[in-house]
Amino acid sequence: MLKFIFMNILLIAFVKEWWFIQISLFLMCFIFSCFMGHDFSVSGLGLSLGSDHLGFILIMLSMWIMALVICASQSIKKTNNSPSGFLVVNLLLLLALLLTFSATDYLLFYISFESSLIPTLILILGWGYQPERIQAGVYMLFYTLFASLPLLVSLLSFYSLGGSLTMGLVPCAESSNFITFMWYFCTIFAFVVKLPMYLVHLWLPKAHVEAPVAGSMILAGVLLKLGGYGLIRVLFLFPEVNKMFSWFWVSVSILGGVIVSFMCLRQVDIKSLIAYSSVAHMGLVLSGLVVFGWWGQTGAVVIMVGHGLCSSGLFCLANMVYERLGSRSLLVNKGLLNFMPSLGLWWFLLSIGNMAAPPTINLLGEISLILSVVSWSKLSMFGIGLLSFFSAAYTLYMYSMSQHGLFFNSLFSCCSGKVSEYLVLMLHWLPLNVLIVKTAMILPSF
Amino acid sequence: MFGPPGVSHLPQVCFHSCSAKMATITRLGRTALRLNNVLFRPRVLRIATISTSKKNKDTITISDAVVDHGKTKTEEATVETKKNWISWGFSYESEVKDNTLMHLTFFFGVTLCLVTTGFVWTYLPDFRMMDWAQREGYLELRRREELGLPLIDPNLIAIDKIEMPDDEELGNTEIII
Repeated sequence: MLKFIFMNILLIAFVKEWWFIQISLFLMCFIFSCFMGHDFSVSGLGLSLGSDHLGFILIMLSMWIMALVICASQSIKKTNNSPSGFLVVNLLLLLALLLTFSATDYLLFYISFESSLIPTLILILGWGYQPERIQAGVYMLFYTLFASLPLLVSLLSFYSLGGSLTMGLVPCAESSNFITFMWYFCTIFAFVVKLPMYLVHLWLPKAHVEAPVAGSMILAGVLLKLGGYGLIRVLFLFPEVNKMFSWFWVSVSILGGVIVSFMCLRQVDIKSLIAYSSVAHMGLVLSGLVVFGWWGQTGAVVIMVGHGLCSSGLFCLANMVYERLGSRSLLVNKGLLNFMPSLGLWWFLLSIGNMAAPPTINLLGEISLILSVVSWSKLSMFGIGLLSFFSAAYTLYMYSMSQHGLFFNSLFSCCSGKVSEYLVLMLHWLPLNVLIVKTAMILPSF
Repeated sequence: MFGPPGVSHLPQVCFHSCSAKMATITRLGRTALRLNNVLFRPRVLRIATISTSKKNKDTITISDAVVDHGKTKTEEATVETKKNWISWGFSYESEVKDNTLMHLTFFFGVTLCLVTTGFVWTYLPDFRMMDWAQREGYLELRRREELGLPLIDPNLIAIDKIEMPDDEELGNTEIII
């Protein structure tokens, strides 16, 4: 595992050459994919690093999305908007993500989890477009920090109780009294805010909208999954308390997902729409995780991968439109099939991926999650049914509003997609649709 | 066997003779240099127009002359031999860099990451022991059918092997089924 960390750190020395970083990230993905093709349940151990299959899946996802981020941010290179600084920030973010997903020690996981915030903040503040990005950065930073300091306290309590913070050697908190409940809440609140769940989701639309395309893609693609990954690693430490309180997380996340889906139908900003749809998807992920069964965990991981690819691709598309037309508003970006018919293919394919159409892995994950949550409580059928229905509704709204109909009169013609843009979108879409034939690669355990 | 020169198809490696190898290498070189042709642009370009109308209009006419790059000849107009090129999207300054980067990105991104990785993943032998587990399952089913045991036993372990504590030891412990 250290070889990838070193490759990442040493790439920072080559940031003067944009093309070199772009190529090397793809090379890193290739080498890693060969590295993860084995039977061992845990591998790459050493220096409190190592991963089981769940870690492999998410490391692969983060490296892949980072490679696509660099390919999609050509405008920073073209306008010479400090490209080497941009690459350094992105590589540091990738380093933090690699350390987070491959940590076998809870403290290393926590430190890298927190340190992934700083490059994201620098990305938003440094390369964002609008003055609102200051508030967006503040929201993101303080929401996450406020929620995760209790996590530090609870990890230190585990250390003083058990003597070790190595994953798997930490004692479970068997009892279910009030103190254990507070402990449980402090531990998982950080991940619930990161996911995000409905009531603590306000940072997400702001951060996604104000970030540059790289920031949006990385945020939607990988950083939200940090919350899910953390939950998987931490939830089993509180079996009794979780059984008592999972109803709260399921209710809030599913109902919140439904409410947020309604809000999606009212959005005018494309990026804001995609950001709210991320909240809805992650609400379903949270409910599946907290239900504590095999189906829920598997569905959650599969949706995390699928959503990472799909939302990241949609943000990439929104940025392509923004680069050409100068606006993210659906009132300006309508009738795009008249201007950019070739991009309409990718709008369609990624939109249907967002609403869990076959044969995307989103469908597999959503079916697994529906199975798990409905088996936990039949009443949740209503919420989940509304969630799935409205996810299709707002995705169709976004697609139809942006592509069909008459175009905005003050628009001129624009390029219908360069080869590099097509490549980036295709590299988003192909794993999303083709991984269904080898789902053993994305299932965390069986 | 190799076709006429100038036909752009994949050169085939042949082990017949040294001259054939040289021809292969030359053709490889020619294909690779097709777009990176800065060195091969003609210094002198002959232009012959086919218009038969009188050359007394207001529009700019290109005279039937030898246009030289090095000196600033002023006939009617100088013609640039630089073709308009449409960038692939990888570099907007240099066609050579754009082309090279396009090839590199597609090789590393598609050929390596999608095709080769897909191939490796598809043909991984018994990945995560799924085939083994299914075989073992079928073998166990066959064993149980032969012995007449139930295929899925409600008791995972035989009851007589489990030692349960007495009622005194249990006391007030909650029993969850």
